[in-house]
Amino acid sequence: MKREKHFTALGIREKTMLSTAVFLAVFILVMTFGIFITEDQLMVDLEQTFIQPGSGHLFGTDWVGRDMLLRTLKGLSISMRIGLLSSLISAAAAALLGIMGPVFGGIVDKAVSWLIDFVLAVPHTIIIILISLACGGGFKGIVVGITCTHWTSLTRVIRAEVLQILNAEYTQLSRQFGKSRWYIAREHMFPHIIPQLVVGVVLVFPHAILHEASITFLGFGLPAHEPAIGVILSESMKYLTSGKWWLAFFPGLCLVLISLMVDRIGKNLEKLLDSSSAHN
Amino acid sequence: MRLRANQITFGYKRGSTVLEDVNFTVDEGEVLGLTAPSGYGKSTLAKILAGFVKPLQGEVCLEADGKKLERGKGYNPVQLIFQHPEKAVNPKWKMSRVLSEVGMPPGELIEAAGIKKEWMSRWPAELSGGELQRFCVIRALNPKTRFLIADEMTTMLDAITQAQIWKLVLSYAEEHQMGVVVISHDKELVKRLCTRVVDLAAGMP
Repeated sequence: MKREKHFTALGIREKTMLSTAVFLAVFILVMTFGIFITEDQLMVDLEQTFIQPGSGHLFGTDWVGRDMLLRTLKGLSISMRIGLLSSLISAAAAALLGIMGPVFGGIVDKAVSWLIDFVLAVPHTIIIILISLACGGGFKGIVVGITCTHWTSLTRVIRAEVLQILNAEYTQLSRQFGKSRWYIAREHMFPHIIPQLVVGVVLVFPHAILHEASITFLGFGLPAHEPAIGVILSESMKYLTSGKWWLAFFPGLCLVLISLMVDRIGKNLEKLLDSSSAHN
Repeated sequence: MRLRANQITFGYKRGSTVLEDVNFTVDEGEVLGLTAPSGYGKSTLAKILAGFVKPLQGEVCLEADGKKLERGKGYNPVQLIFQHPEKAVNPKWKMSRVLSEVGMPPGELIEAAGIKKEWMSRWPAELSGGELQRFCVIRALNPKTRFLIADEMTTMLDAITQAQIWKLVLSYAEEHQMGVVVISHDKELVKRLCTRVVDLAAGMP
């Protein structure tokens, strides 16, 4: 009896850790599963077009008889790789600029602040479309476009944190000990901004995949033969009026669920890393 | 070697000064007291002496045989100890790393400061103010430190810890011919510790 109670009565911290682990597992599973779906499994089969969702095909089939579940998974996997890559690069840029600005100060700091304001002042979608077009579209265009627009808010957070640490007594003492700016940035500041960086990566991710889907939906992103979620959604628009609802419903729902899930991971990590007990 | 504060003037606001034309010298091995009531710029003077803040006018210089020494970029021979030790250590560093930022002090010194071995593997948040201040003090007692500025170094501590820390610092200063500037509003403490006392309030309105 006692043992059972002990097992079910998880603390808030344990629950947060458990849900984060489950979400991470789902995330990795979907991403790796999508990589192993080959072209052969997505072959055209004209005898099986427009099958309604059911036991044979959970998400139904499309107008040339391809299984929508496999296409959705493949599409999610592509979107997630784009999201992961662009949020990682954004975070790296944010760490570099966010530390460099305050540490070097003067004109460098002014330049960083100006660049942040400049990028924030223009609507995201328009810049992403322009950059994506300039880079020739496709995977590369989208990653570059999203990265160039999503480093700003995280850079601001990190810059503020670094400014605060720079005025702390222990960094000023470190200067008097004859330590270089590089040493102070690496040894004193970096440990403080790791939590922000991790949470930042995860919170940028949903933005990135939603932008990827919308740009692709508008036709400026991935080419039509890639089963990205944006491509699937824009194709299914043609069939919505004839009652083929499942073509848009399941892929759209999955996209929203994945975004919410990653957002939840980010918020969980924030809780876990921010608490005073995070030392160990 | 001698530490000279030469006509130091400083103010935080335009048109009003906190410190005006402050002059004094400290010889090596000397323990000098600086007293003044609250708000007379004691801590500001401490920061100026240790190079944290640049004075508006005047300068702080080190002299040897009457000649001014050029100061490089490296370790500052004038080191400051703050009133609040918890702000003077990086909360994300373990104590052993805090202590060895400028090289690990010798074992006898660590022992004399009453630092226990198990404190070394702890985070700053897991030690009390008195325990942390011991780390901050012996971190600054480096062979390269020629002058120590103690800005209300033991004000936050209980009487026993206060006595222990001062005993350690004074015996170290005597042994290594290090100059000490004791900054405090506690006149009794300053009288007890110092061979000479400068009253900042004396020359001011």
